[in-house]
Amino acid sequence: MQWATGYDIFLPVVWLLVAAGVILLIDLFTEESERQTMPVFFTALGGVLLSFVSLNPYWDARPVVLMRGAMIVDQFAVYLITAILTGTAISMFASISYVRRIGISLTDFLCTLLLAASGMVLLTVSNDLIMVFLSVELLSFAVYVLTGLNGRSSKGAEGAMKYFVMGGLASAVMVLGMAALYGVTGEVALRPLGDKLAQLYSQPDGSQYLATLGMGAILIAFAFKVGAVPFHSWVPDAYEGAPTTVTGFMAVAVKAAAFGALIRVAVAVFPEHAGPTGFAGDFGWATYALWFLSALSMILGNWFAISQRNVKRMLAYSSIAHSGYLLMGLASSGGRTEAYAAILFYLLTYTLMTSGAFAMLVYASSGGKDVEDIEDLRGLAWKKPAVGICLAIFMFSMAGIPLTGGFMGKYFVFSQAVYAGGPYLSLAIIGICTSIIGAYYYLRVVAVTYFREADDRPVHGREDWGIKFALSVTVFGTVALGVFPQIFYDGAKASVEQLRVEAPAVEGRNGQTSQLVDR
Amino acid sequence: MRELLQKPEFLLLLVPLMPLIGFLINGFFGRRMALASSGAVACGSIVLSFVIATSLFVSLISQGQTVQSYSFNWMHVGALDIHFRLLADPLSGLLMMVVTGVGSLIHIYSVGYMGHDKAYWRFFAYLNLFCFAMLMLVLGDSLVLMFLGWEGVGLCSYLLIGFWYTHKPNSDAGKKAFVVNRVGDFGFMLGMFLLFWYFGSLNYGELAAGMREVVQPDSTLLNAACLCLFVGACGKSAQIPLYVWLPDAMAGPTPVSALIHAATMVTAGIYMIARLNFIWVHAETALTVVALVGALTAFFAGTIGLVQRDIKKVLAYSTVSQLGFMFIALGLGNFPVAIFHLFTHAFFKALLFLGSGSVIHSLEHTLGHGNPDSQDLFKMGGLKHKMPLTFATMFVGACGLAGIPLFSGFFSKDAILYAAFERQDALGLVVYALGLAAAVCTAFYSFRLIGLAFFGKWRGLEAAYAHADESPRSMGLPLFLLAIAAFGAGYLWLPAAFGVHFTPFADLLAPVWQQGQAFLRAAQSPLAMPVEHSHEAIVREWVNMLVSSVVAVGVSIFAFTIYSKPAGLERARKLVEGAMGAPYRLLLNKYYVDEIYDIAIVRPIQLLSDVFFVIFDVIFIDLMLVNGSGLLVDLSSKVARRVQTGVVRHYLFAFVVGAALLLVMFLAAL
Repeated sequence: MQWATGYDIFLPVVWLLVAAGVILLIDLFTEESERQTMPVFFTALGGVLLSFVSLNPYWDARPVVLMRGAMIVDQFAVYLITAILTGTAISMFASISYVRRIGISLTDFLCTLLLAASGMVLLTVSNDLIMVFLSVELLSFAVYVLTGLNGRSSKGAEGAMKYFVMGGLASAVMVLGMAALYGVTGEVALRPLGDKLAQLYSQPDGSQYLATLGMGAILIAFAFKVGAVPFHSWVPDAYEGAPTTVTGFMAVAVKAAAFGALIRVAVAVFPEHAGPTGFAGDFGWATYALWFLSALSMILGNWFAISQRNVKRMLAYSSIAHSGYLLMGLASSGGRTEAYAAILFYLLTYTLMTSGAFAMLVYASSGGKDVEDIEDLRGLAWKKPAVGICLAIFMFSMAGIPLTGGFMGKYFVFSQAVYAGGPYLSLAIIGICTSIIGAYYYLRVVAVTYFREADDRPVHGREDWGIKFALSVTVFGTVALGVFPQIFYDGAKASVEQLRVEAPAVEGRNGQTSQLVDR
Repeated sequence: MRELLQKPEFLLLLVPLMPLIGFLINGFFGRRMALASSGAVACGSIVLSFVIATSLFVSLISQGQTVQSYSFNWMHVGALDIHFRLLADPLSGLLMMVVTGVGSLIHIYSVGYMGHDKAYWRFFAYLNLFCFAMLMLVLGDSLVLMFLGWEGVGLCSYLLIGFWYTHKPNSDAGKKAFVVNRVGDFGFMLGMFLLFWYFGSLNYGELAAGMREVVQPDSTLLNAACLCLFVGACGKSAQIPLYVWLPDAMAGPTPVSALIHAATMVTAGIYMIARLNFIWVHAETALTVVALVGALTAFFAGTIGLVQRDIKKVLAYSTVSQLGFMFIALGLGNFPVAIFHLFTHAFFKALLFLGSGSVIHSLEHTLGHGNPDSQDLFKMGGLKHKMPLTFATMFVGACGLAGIPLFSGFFSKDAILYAAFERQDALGLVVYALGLAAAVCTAFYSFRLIGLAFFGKWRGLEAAYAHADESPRSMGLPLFLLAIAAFGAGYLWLPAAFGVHFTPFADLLAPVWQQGQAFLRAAQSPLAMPVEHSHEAIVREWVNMLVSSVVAVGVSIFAFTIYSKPAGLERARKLVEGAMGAPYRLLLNKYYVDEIYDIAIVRPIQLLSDVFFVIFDVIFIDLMLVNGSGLLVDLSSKVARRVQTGVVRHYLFAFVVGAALLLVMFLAAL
């Protein structure tokens, strides 16, 4: 199978799609019932696991480019795909009995989830503008559907609708920006595009204004996807309306994929050598914009979260704030490997602690009723001490208290901003101040679970092994990242270093040069 | 896998890992496990660890090789690079053997001793965790890892002292141990910081290399650093002024007293100084302080031990006193002798504690759990008929402790006294005098204990005596094995005066002291250990040995004749009520040290903190900072959230305005 050399990089996506297809077939030929649960769930899980396993050859490999440069698989992508698949698997485990209980068909849910995940995986390997756009659309549509999957909930429909309308606008902006860049340079592949732009900025001929607008538009669209202020307004409504496990998935996987793509685009298209107005190093226009996005997200996200009584909405605002911290890393990166590695590390801890926190909400939900008000959690720690500790660990991690992954993530990102100095130092100061504010509402959750009298509301998670598994994995990961950060940080650094490998390998991994591989 | 199991760098990792796994299993699933399986997991894990440690020790370390585990980069913060790596050289290898060996025996003993406890699994989880932390302390290859283990054993000690936490004095004792140790830990940290500041590293190998490179060491700084470290050692190893927690720590279950508060954890301070001996030899002042503090502690704790009624308290003060002996040896620069005493002490003191546990266990059947009468020596007597094995083994332990010739304690304690004797200066004289006085006390209370508990007539509740019985076999076996070790351990290092050159113990450890001794010899310091024994020295050693033998045997017989017969007891009581009343009460109340600390330290701090609490906490922080600012932010947030109207048109408007502003910003910046 000579022709297939190198093409097994499609396998991670293919396995997800195959699993989705098999689930549909199962649903077609069997009755919707309790008995369906296990086959369907394990098909989906098998898809995710196979997808993960098929990444294996790329863990240590040099980058491989194919489809005439449209796709690239490097360790950067592998790192992100790992985070995405972890987030996907955790929300699957958390959903096993939850989704049916709130009246959603498990097959619908898992199938859409897998489609979204495949879009995300594609996004991380996208290496030209068209692939980026297509993958973003694939994942976005799947996530719109997931948000509104619960037809019985008016909040779900409202959230999905708002998300869809706003998302449409963002997509339009993104396409507009891409068109502008193509119009100016005649390129869609990221690296040649970057080279052309660099040339353009060094010898301006007037078209650089259009190019700048194009890049700005793309930046805005990504800012929308990661929920940065002022493009965040869909976040609270969509997060609140979506089924809780979907919210966790949105908060985690969508963010990881979008940030990954943003970094890839930024590194290639906003090159350091673009001169005084370039992306990195200098306080150019893009960093200027990122500075504002980051500062606004940190301030407003944390500020709005304080007064929320609804836990899901609170976590929505908290996710906006976390986007702000991540954007701080990007703004102050200056093209440094360490800064991108810090962002990746932060994404990984964010994935674990946030999906853990949402799994916790599923655990604490009762009957068909989600946890809404923070009071629903009261005394939880006394009903189930182990679960109380898990919740405390997630909240401590989000607040950035030492010995948790959240602390190390903040430490890495903030220290990069401090290292960059100048205007980024102010960003780091804003970050520290706002995370103190953040500690207030995170710790309030812990306080409610410990210091309030428990009620006799039954807790759903008691009989749900899936949710227990999800909690164990996330708690373990959150603590491991806090106690042994260096391993994961070094991994992130190694994967980021590949972003800059100048000429991606044209060799297949078996050493034969593939005819289809081209730059 | 097979290949991996033959690699020493991997096997060494398994040594602390085994008890950790045992802890995790018991900690997470113990509640639901059967008693037998819970005990089997705990004992199995530590015995396995002992087997691995033995194989490493016999095949490599005893051949003079050093074993290093795989290392990984744990954390990288600024200039501080913390690698996680275990290191088993002769010194840490020996301690590893003691911890896993004595630890295994005490685990097995606990199966019987804790058999009736409801929280059986919790006890074993803590005990396993302790072994893990202790092994980390011993095997870590840097001060950072040692400190990690140091804090870990402190935590386990706290948890185990307060193991029966429903009884308030127990949890109070736990708290006391924790707080007093925090004082010490603070000193330890300061010492670490000073060393890091001076050497730029905390790894033993790099510290030693740094020490070699320094031409003119800054002795002020090294003295300061060593004194700070010694404060830490005082806390953990219960020396004046921080020894007060150890006697109270006897509130924990007896196996805990044996393992943590006699054999292993409390010797951490001695290990630390021996480990860093290449730095300590440059800190002569600090060493003098160590010798004096050790001698004073040995003496004072010994005198307090003379009058205690509680069988475990006697042993606790004896432990403090024996630790003082070890510090004497360290302070005199004779590191191997300190480690030798640590080694023999681990056996005979663990044995004595386990033996007293056996007595308590058998009396508690009738008297009920936690009844202080089950530990009161004056309510015992004649137990040797009821518990022959316990008596025989404890007798061996007491002989070892008292320094009766040919028992292990004789060899190690005598070596310490001889080292002081050989100094032939003021310090040596003072230390020798105090040490000899402490040895007198030791012999006295050892045989007072034996006489009171096992001889004479039963003085307690009749029913308790009737039901007193030898303990189960799981407790008997560790006693028996420890008795053999307590007798034989001393023969690993025969004094030069014997004329037979048999010193495997000293030979094994010799490479550890090489660097420090090379320096001392070059500087012709009095601290250097003698290499050859002149004829005069041999004579002096004989004299010294004779003196201490006569003292030990004489005092032992004296104490035994008083306390083993009702008539002697009666006479002692009259004496105490009459002429000796004042000193007796002084000793019984432990020199009123707890009361003095309470008045001089605890109450002023309490008062001060009450004042600060009201001014800063209640008024400034709570009222103004926390509630004030919190209220402000909360209010403003409630107002601001109205921006989020929920109307899509407003959202779109915000989006477009934001985008327009950003784009304009871009173009303006271009």
